[in-house]
Amino acid sequence: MITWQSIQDIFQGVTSLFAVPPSLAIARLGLIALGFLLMYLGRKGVLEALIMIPMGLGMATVNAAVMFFDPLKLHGGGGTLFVEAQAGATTDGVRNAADLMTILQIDWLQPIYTFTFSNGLIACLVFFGIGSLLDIGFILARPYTSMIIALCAELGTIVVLPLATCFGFTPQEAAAISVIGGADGPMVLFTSLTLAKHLFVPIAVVAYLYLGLTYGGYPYLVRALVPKRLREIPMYPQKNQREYSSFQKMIVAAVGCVVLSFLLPIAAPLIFSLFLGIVIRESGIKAFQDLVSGPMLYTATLFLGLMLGILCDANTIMDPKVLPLLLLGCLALLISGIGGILGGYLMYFVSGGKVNPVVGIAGVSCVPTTAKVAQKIVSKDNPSAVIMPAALGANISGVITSAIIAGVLCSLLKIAS
Amino acid sequence: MQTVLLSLTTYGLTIVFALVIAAVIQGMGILVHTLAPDRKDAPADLSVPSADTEREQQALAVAIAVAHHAKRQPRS
Repeated sequence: MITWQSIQDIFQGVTSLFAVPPSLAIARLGLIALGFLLMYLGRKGVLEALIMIPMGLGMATVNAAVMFFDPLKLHGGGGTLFVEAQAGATTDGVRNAADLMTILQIDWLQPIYTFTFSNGLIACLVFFGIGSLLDIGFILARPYTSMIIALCAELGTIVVLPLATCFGFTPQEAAAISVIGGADGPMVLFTSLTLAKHLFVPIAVVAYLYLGLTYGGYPYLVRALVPKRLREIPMYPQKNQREYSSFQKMIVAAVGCVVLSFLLPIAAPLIFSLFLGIVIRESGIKAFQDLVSGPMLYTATLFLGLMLGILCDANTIMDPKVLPLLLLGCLALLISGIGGILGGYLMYFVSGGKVNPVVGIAGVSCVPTTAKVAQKIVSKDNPSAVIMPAALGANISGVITSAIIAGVLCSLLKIAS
Repeated sequence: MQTVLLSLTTYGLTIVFALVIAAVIQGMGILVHTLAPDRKDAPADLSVPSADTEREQQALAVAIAVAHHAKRQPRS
């Protein structure tokens, strides 16, 4: 005999909507719609498709698949079979281990979350793959220009750090949030894990959401701040520019890796991952390069996007700390973009008009998205102008300055605590 | 105020470290370009026969010249 109760038990995704406060139910439906929107915008090329398509589908699905299931009793009776981000987050070590073992056997994406996402491995894998796509020759051509632009593009981090404390965040939490301004996903994951583990999920979600949005938002910022006649400036190779062989680039990358690790041991896993990718690229071991730049990078990116979507359940997004996070993250990226363009202007004046100020946006280290954005904007105004090499130089320097800033913040705040 | 100071200290240290890295990268670039450590390791073109001694080189040159000459001779 089918009763109303049995129907409720069968269609838990729907009936659970009525068992929670209306605000949470509306948030679930809103997130399902947002998931579809992100997928659509990713497919249209407005946002970064590699992250947005798996993320959008994950977000929509996880908010649909809620049921009356909460084995760790963390969400008042509701849950999914996807992942439990809060498992193992209590102060009781024994309970943490037991909770983790239980949830690892239940939630199908929990192994990916626990063993790659929450320990930062996935960030290292993404950096590893990105490294294998980078040509260090671009930064060798203009090391100071690239580095100064990248330093200017860290403005968002510097401004938002004190601002975040005005919202009631502790210095550690504020630092973890402000690193979003560096626009470097792996570095954001790493800093939030090191300084504010309890905010890891919302910070990671906000950071990657905005990193996807930079693809759509920064072109408007550049067009607003750089006039057309400056956007059209072509960039030619410098006079007497040296050509470097792969072997020479490999030596520079290896020494750079060791020097950076000497200076910032706290960011050494990420620095090592990035430079290992560069060294593999220049080593000529084609099998490794194909593996790292293809299957490894894309597998890591796919699971990164998927995990971010899955973590966007209504319970997380409705956390009262998320709204200020959304505002501060947006502000940090906006100020960093403006800072980058100001850096581009600075180099334009210093070089006597030989540097296109649009290169500045590539100092925001969302590799290689912002470099691609810079080239795309310039190509629209002057199809024959090529600024990609200079933009990639600023982009790589952006990764380095983000690693430095994350390392400095972690070191200073760990010492302070 | 404390976080403003923290922020400025962080930025100051970042600028110093970043400029050190830029100097290291530029210095390394100049060094490897000057030393050219891979100059001797240029991959050999295996399609061209090689000779180690002067006598062998002369013999090889003669052999190549003879082969060319033979190629040019019309066959009767």
